[in-house]
Amino acid sequence: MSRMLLAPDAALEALSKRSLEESPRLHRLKTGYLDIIERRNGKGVEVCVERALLITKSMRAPENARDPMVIRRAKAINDYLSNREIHFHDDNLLAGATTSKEMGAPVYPEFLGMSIWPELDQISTRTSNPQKLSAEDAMALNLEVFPYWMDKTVLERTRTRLTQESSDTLLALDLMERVSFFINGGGAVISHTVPYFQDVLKHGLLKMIDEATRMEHAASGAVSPDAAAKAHFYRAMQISMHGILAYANNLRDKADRLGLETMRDVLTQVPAHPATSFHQAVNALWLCHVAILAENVNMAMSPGRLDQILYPYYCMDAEKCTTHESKQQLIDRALELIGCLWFKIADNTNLVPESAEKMFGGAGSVPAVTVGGIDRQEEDAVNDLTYLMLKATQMLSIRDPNVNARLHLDKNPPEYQEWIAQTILKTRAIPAVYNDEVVIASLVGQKIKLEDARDYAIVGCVEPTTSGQSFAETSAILLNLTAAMDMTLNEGNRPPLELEGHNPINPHFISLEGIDTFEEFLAAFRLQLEFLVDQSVSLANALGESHRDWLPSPLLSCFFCGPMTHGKDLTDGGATYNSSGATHVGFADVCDSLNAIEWLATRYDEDEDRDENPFEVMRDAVAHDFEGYEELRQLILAQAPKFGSLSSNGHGNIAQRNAQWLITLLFDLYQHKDNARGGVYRPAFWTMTNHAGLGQVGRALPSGRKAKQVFSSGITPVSQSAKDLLAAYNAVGGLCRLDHEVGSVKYPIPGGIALNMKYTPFFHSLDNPHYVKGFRDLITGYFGAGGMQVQFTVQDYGTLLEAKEHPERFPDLIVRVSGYSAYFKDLNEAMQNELITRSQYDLFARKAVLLNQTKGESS
Amino acid sequence: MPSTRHPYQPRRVPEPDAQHPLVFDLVHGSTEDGPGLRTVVFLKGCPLRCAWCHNPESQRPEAQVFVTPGPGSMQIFEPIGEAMSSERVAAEIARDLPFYQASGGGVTFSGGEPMMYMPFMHAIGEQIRAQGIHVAVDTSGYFDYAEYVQLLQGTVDLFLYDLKIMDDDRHRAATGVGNARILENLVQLKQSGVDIQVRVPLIPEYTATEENLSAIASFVRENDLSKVSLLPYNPSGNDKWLKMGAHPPVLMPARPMDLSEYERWGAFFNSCF
Amino acid sequence: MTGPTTAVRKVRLGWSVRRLIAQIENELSDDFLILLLDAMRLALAIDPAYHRNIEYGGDVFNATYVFKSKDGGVKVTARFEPVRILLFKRQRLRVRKGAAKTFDVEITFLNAKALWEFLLAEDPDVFAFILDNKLQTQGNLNYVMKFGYMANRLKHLTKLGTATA
Repeated sequence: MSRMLLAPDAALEALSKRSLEESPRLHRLKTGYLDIIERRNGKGVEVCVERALLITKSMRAPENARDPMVIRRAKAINDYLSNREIHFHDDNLLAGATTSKEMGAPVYPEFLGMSIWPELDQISTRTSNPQKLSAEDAMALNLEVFPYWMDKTVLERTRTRLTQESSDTLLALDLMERVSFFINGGGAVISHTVPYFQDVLKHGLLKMIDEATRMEHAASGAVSPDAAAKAHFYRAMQISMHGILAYANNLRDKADRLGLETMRDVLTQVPAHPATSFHQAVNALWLCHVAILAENVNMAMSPGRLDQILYPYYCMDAEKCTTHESKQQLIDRALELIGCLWFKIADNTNLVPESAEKMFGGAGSVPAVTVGGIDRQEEDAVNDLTYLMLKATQMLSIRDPNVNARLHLDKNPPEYQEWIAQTILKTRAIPAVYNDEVVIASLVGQKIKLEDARDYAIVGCVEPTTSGQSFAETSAILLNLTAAMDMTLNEGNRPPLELEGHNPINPHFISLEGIDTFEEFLAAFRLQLEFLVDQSVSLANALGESHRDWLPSPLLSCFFCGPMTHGKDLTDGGATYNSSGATHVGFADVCDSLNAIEWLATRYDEDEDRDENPFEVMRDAVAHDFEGYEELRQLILAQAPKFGSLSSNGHGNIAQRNAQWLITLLFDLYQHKDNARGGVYRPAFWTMTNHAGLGQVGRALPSGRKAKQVFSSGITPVSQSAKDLLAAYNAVGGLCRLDHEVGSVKYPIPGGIALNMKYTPFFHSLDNPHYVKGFRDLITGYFGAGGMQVQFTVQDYGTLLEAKEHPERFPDLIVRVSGYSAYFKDLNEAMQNELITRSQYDLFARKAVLLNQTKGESS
Repeated sequence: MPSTRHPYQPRRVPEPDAQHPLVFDLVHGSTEDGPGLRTVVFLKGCPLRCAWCHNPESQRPEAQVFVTPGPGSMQIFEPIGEAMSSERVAAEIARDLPFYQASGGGVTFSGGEPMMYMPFMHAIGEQIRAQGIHVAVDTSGYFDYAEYVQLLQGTVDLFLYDLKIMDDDRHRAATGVGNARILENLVQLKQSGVDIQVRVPLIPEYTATEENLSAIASFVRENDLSKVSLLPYNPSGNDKWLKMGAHPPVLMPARPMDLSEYERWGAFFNSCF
Repeated sequence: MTGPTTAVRKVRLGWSVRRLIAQIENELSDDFLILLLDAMRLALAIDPAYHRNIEYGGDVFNATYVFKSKDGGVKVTARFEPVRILLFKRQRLRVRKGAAKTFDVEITFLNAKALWEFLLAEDPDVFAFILDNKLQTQGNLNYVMKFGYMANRLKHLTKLGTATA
């Protein structure tokens, strides 16, 4: 692809200089948005109960009770979409909204919506991230909605079934409810995927309904055991899509009544009929996204490669432009529409109970948009929209959508690299950057066709999946690796926890007394890790079966490759590709723990006077939280090898070897596990804010980390430990793409990584070509070293400390947690501390500026 | 019981020779020592004894120790100089290949005087040649040119060549050696066609005099050495002497050269052309 | 996945604990828990708005909660169930000592002291309680949520003085 209207360098240059003030509409929308974010002028985030009420009413209706679940579900979604209130809160050019509130948190009682039940009376007034809820709405949830769902959530349906079957998986459920072993996302969401919008834009919903109708008739006439089920599924697809049409009609009627002619005309065409302009395409896509959120939780439902999907419609408009003026108008209009779409995508947030705030707070709904990279034919895919989307991102500088930039070092033009760097330096956080070569190779390693792999987009935080084809359920497992370390040191137990009937928790363990070598310790650790992987997979699969049985997704299935052909719901394996994601907390902390143990064992080995067992010494030190072992702790911190410091003391290779061992072990463990949809699990390393939350309740670790300290984020080296920036990049790059194949694996992290880098901001950095070039060189160097992903927070210790102290001074300061972006003020204290202590690198010196060197500077 | 003993066992460091120098520092990602992002290998040992030397720990080839006070009455020992095989150094250099490619960087041998260890650099060069890594040498110019021709010519892409004092007696007084060999080597290198960046450290009262700088300017002009840069004085050497348990041979100014003075010398130097 | 435990934290019933301390002093038994549950029972019986929590529209709330401590110091069962009064069937709460064998949810504290700590803490850290093995639940967590709401509401009512004292 190449630039079209932006082809002249002058046009691109002019675009780069655009400011928000030059787009009055976007400026107004931004002001309104900030009012909500900063809770000014009586505005703020509101809980929206409309979805919960209407869907519950439909599910309660006796006339629907005998329908198959897939049809009941479709009817409920249809009822909601058809009967929603219609509001136009502002002069956004696009019609449709996720909720009836300006910024709403929808309630999904079929998942975790009931977790706010105890706080219904306080959620409006709590100190951290209040979400407004009227007394009347609260009572409706209490009396009408929640009682219906008490026994019907995914988690409780699963518990009931496992109990009836006396399943071994009950242990896994118990472990999950102890919070700190692993968390299965299936109880909270199914979403975490990238839909396929091309069909609705190209053909319109009416044609898609016709197709589903035809398929239903064909299935009804067939004599096969699953004919009836298929027919029901096709029927459910039609019902779902009719719901979207009804919603669009209601929007059009209201637009008409209000005299909004352009909007009315757009809605007359789409989404029923094919889009014939950029405006129509954007609105059609947005309406379908809204409908998807009516059915599935607004968490990490990711629109995908918008610069590719929407480009044909931009071109339709561009071809009509003959004069310089008309071209300029189209660029302006397109930029405005993209800005409007960004605000629409940001119009919702998650419903979060207070204790979850405290533990895991600050999350948005993380809709990921992906731009750039190469296309299915391996050609440069960067086009006008890529730049316009990056520009809109710069101008708005808001948390959502989570914008991700793909970068192909050979195919993408240098000016695109420049734009990525400029956008990050302007927003100080956005976008995250992905290495096409490594991501594509990693996906091909997952038996994904090369062309499909090239068409990858990011889900949620950082997870690459093929667009619209891969039902990736990337949040299936979040596993705390430090739990396996605890259990290794404690003979399969995890004091002080006791599980009735399970002592030790894992009956298979190797006692440290009998261990002589580090290799034996690794074997002992492996036993515990395998146990936790087995447990978490068994529960994730049980939840997957509940999704299939109780929460089919016929509407989302309409916007996916596979279900229409196979006559199967997504939750039943209807997609072309089926996988699940397993991500990990505490990776670097566990690596450094292994390093410290190996280091200590070697020291004891070399010292003939020592006859203690170093593994037991380490266990005792950790059990005492290093009380009485401070000297050992200091030596570990000073001398033991650290992940991310390849060569600092000649031990670097040990750290890299242990990291590779852990990465390839996890790859092996998961790749042999089937999920409920016939796919396999893909290991990943991103942690949102869980590394902070779990860290603050975690016990000490052999790495020298004391109890209740945050863990390192994603795949990032432990804070303050990796002092050489290039070494850190090389270390991570060397894990995404191994130097040598291990087994037959070269790309062992198909699920994605989040590498957090914090750079010292430079005064007027954008005007300093050395800074911008240095910034770019480091990204390309890291990608050359095998790096898959990197994301930046361009802030220094002092500013973040001040922002913690005085949140009111920094209401819209955006930072990177492990994956998405967040407003610093929204984060809980542990996560704020993690961001503050995260190594800050001086981009010119390529060295970490250590926190203890800068103390006092902030005042 | 907790460990009260120090598990750190200092390793015996072998005597260095031309094939086996000690490395006293190895810096990744430098932008100070040549183009792009560079790995800089600092080799210990130098035939010169510059009064202003800001790396005095680099002068003697053998291992030494920095001693600094620790908590209480403790002392912290920091060994200077590590024996590294050419294979290990080559691996350290190769590690950052992607960053050299991204930025147009490479490796720089510095010191001390790296040209004391041409066999060692030769051995490394053999190992990294295939990767096409750009090689720079930061030298005082005091080395055996014949050995260079035999071992390194063709493998060094760039010399960062220090020019200090043009008056031979003063050069000897300030650095311990005369400058004849240094100037002769520079002329020969220039004629060999290798890329040279001349660097003049601005040391108040030593090199930073009008007389000396105009002499350097003449020499540079006569030999058509187009790339010359002036380096501002940086006083980091003083406390390192103390940490080695010695006193600086000459007390140098404690403050770095300020920008205006640096610019003044720059203007003067330019005016000589 | 973090939500379920929220409710546990909300099962604070802190509203009258301070008054109870004076009465019970150091006695670590289940009496005070029963007192708290009795307050809920009374409120359900006499406050029609509060009563809707267990009987509304066609929904009636039947559930059994067991509160226990591992050291055996606390064993209380709270059961929401119908009772027939003449011709009317009406939902009520019945509280009794001892732990029922079948339940919808069982909330177990490590010992009576842990229960005290939990009830008395201004802002108890539920994760710390779970990780320190001081608190665990078995069964349907949504019942804990609902109970949390009712307990919270009760606290609110007592503050306003509209419910029984």
